[in-house]
Amino acid sequence: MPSETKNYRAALIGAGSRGMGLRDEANQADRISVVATADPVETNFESLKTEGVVVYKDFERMLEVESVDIVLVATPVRTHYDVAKRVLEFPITALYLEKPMSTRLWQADELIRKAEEENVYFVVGHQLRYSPGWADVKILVMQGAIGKVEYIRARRGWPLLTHHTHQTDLMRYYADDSPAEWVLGQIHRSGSFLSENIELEMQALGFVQFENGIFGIIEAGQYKQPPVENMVMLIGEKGEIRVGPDAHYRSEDTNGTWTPVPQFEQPDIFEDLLHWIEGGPGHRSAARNGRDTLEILLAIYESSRSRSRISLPMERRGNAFEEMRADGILP
Amino acid sequence: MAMLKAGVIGCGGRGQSQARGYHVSSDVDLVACADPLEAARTAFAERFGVKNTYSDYRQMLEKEKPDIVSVATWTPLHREITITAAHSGVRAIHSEKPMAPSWGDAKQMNQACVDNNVVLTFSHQRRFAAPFIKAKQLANDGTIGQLCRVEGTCPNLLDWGTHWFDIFFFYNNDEPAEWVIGQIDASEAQEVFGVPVESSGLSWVGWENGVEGLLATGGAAEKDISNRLIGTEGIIEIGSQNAKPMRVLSSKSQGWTVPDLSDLESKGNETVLSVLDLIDALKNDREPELIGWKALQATELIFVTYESSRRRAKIYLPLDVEDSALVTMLESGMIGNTLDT
Repeated sequence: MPSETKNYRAALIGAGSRGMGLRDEANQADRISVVATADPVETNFESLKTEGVVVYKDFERMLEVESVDIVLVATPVRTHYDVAKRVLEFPITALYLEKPMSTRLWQADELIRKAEEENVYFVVGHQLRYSPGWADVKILVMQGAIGKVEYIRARRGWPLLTHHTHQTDLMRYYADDSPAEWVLGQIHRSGSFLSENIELEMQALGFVQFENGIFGIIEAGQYKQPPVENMVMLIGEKGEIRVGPDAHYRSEDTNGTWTPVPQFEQPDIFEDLLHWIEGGPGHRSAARNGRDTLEILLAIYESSRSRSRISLPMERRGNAFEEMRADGILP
Repeated sequence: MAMLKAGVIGCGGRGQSQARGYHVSSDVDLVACADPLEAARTAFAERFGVKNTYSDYRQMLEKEKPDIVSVATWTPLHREITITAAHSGVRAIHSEKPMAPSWGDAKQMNQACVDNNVVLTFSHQRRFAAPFIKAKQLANDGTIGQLCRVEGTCPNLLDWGTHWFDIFFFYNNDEPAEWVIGQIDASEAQEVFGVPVESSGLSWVGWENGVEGLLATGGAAEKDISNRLIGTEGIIEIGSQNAKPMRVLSSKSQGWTVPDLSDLESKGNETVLSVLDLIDALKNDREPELIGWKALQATELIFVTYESSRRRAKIYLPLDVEDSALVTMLESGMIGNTLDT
């Protein structure tokens, strides 16, 4: 087990805006330095070079030359599987893969299997589990502020895979990562709709039955004016929490008056990764959580395709949305 | 006003419930009943002191010439009986819900009544029940801020869901709905009063005024909850079947509180009140609360939800098919136990 004084060399693959943001976040951890970057079209190379970061067009070449502990992958979603799979063939300690892990469940499973085989600490970028506000709600819930949670509704004005994945992941976090028993859902698409350069749905609805009894509702899409807000609403035996642009709650204890969700001390997502590597109990955004979140989203597509409720774990581990488009069922 | 003559078609439990309304009204004579089952019509006649009983409702219509008929048969019979009654010279027809097994049937029933100047009402009697009236008041008097969302849970979209879709419109002041996106699961489809229903369903409804709704049925039904209204400043919940009392959470309510319903509850049985409202509407030449166009808007949401499943898409109203997508898909094997994937 690495000592708690070790410094970690990190490399970034994909130097677009998300990658550069991720690099900044990683560099904020005291013992992580992003020393190398790879990007096939040399995005942001000039500024990276002035900061002393070694740049490569080819990420495999970078990983052959540079000895790094942590790899950050922020490439286009479609490439996540191929890039991450190749990265896992190098002797690294940890992999941080942007969300969604992949667009297909079997690929997510394959990456997890490979990472476990290679003893790589594998995290997926559902960083809201560490963001002030969103993450504070979890602590408030654990403190019993609204009693037993009965209902969680998560809403986002963008598609499931590229954006609602954050809200669905939070729903799971607030539900104690209770396994989803089954999903019922529907999507809408009347023509081309691109999100992060992927053809996706315009609107989606999902119901999630969690094993611990929580009733989960997923609503996605930008279908009205004013635009749909990012929001999660929790209802419990004693009160409610609404978290979005701001986070507030009310309960019997607040006499029904809106009260801001308190700010708690939250660990940094990268500091927590080091803590995990160095023997900590785990990571909130461990890839298994990212995979389970992805499964719920893909189950909504599968429910639309099969016109039925989908039991989890899913038998079909592809992507029903892609399959329906390929079959001409969806435009 | 001269006494109105009423006849009841279908002498089972719901027929008897409706008959109680005619029985207590001083404006109505309950003159006859019809049911193919002799035991049912005899028991009905004894209970309500009805002299003339018929095995064939057509004979009852012909001989008794009632002003009002109640239709309390199984759902697949509603269309034929209602259209026949509408042409027989009655002034009003009060029918059990759900309206019909298909959207086309529901529209034809309503149109036959409109064409013959017959008042058609349906037993969406929750509009006369205390918690729902209270919830509507609280949703509209600012207690929970601006109403944004209505939710309901029940066993299925057609038989029970028709009540909740209707009550969603009630809460939202009968504003028109705009779209629905939904799904059904029929892997364990059952029949209710002769019509197949889904084993789980979801229906997300958008109204033109921006209010949204969600009806979750069967396996997806939330435990112990019937209705939930969400406003910018609070929540109203109505528990299911007395499992939980009605409760309100808002800054005005100081935490979850249970509203006082005693005044509303003292007005009486909701089915009886529905019938009395129809009678009063006939006397005063006004529109009854449970008028056909309101039932149609709730019914449309049922069949639009099925259609959303069939088309795998959000459906904008008005619905442009006549069938029940659920029935058609079941019959063709597209849904049910033998999934055609």
